[in-house]
Amino acid sequence: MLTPEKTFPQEDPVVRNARREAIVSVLIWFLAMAYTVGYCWLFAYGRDPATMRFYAGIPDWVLWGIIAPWLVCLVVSWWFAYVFMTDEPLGAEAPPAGDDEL
Amino acid sequence: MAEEWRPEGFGAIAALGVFIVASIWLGALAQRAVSKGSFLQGYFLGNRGLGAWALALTATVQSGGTFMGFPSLVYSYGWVVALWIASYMVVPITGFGVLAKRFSQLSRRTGAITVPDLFRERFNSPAVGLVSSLLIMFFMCFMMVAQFKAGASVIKVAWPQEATPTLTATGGDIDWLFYLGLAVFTVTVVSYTMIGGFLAAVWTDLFQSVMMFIGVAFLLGLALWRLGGLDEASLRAVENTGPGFAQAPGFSPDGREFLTPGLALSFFFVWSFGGMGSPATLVRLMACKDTQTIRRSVFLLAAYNMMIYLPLIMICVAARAVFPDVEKSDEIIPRMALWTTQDLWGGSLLAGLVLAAPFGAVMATVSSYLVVIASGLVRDVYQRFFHHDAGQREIQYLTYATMAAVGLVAVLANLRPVAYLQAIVVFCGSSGAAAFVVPAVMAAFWRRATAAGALAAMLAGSGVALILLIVGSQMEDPLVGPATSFRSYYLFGLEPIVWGLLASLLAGVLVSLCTTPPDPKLVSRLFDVEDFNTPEKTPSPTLAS
Repeated sequence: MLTPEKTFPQEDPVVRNARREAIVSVLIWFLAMAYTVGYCWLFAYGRDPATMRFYAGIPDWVLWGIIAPWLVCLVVSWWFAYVFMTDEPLGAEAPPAGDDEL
Repeated sequence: MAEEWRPEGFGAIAALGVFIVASIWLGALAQRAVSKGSFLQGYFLGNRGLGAWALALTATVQSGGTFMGFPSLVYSYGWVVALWIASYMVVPITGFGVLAKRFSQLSRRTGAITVPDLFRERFNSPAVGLVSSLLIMFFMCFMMVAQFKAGASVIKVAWPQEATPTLTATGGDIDWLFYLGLAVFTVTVVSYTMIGGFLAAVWTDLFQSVMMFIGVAFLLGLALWRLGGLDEASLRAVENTGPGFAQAPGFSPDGREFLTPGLALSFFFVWSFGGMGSPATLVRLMACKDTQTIRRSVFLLAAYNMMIYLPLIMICVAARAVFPDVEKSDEIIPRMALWTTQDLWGGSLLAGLVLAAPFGAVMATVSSYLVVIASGLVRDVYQRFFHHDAGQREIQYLTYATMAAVGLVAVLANLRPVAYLQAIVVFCGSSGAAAFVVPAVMAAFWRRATAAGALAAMLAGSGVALILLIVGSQMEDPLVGPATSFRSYYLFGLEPIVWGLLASLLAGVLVSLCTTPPDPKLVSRLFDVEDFNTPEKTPSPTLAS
């Protein structure tokens, strides 16, 4: 007869959800990096100073390449925290690790 | 401008004094809370009771670098440093979204109190525990020593003009004020951490984070008011330097490229993964109360980061407008605090309030590192390998002695103050991440990960980062990145963290696949539903059928 752990590895929902959230986190990180570095690479490097515009003292590439996505990320963080992530019990506390040997 | 410029009156130093007393008081309060549970879990993990504010505002990578090194970079190279720090927009999501839930759960299931505890139990390997402990202590000691310089510098800058001659007249070339600052800083931070342990570090960190926010808000308002707005400040800063101050790769009088596109890309790895893999962050994840705490922390930290870093950039751009050429640019924030408040009523007191921000950031970092280093030495090395049946009192006294010894070592190391604070912060952050991110992700999500794989991942990641540092330090300055002799070799123009993470990933995966799979019972205990693993309970009918 097969043992339950071999046949039915019932993965804890916390593990499943945490994995899903981790994948989405990394995806958000990648998109933020691609946009920010990409935009700044195009508009901040090798730029003719005469074409530089300032908005309230902030260079245009900083505004659109960094501050704007930062604001978007703030909204995304709210969505991630209050809509996407799930609440679940973290389980019971085991006795301090290694105390059997101590 | 005069490098030894100091405030008039005792207001600034008095405000710092109040701040110090408040921190020690919080340490004492924490001690009471800690004494309610067992020493180990209370002192090193705060009885797993961290709430959202505490987790969000303390489990971060803010440090002396935030208020000393980072402003120095903005002052020196200009607006491009906004790109250098831009990945903080996603640090809360990566820092809490990837590992927090699983680390919290794993630490409960294994009963782990320290990060090496968790690795050791997850992989059932004392070797993994020991190596992780040694690596943590290595990187943290390095970084902590650098922080002491920052703490001492704040007290030095806040010291009143009236009292300065008395001290310097007797000292010749010796910077007595720096050493006085170093002594005060060390005694303060070691004392309150020793009194209250992890919880003291967290509570004072929280208090200091709030002070940082207030300090930065005040400073931004005052700086822009004095200069007539950011428009004017930015324009004058560019006039004082050149057009490079508003462009990438940054201003430099000697043709240095501070932030090439490759380095800009790399810093998305440095801060995001550096925050995620920092042992000080990981231990806070293990200490958080529940998943609701984690969720709320994501948003709180996102808002906090935005309100700290963007204003700091503006303040330092303004600083370049006010002070065209400061030699010790690490002191630019304290100097701005003194300049913006110089002729205000109660200005020196206000300066002290603003100065509390960098001081708080440094104290917070040092206290949390002290706890991690002490727990590493006492719990993970002494108790596990030398004296298994050490009693609670023995552990307690040994912990206090370790903290005092670490403080003393840091003071000795700062008798000749370290240079390149931010370079050290970056190196330690990225090397620590290269060592721990992949093993942590393997521990959390990959059933097939083995102890040998985790060990290989740790050693490969940290090894590559260290080798690139050694190679970089020996080579001629390529005029790329910050001007420092503490520099790594940028292989293909990328920071060592990228190569370290890649090496760590390859080593971790390949070695895991080439070694015997872990014990299925151990894996099941840590990955499957708890009821399913309880021997006395039979699987549910659905599963059994």
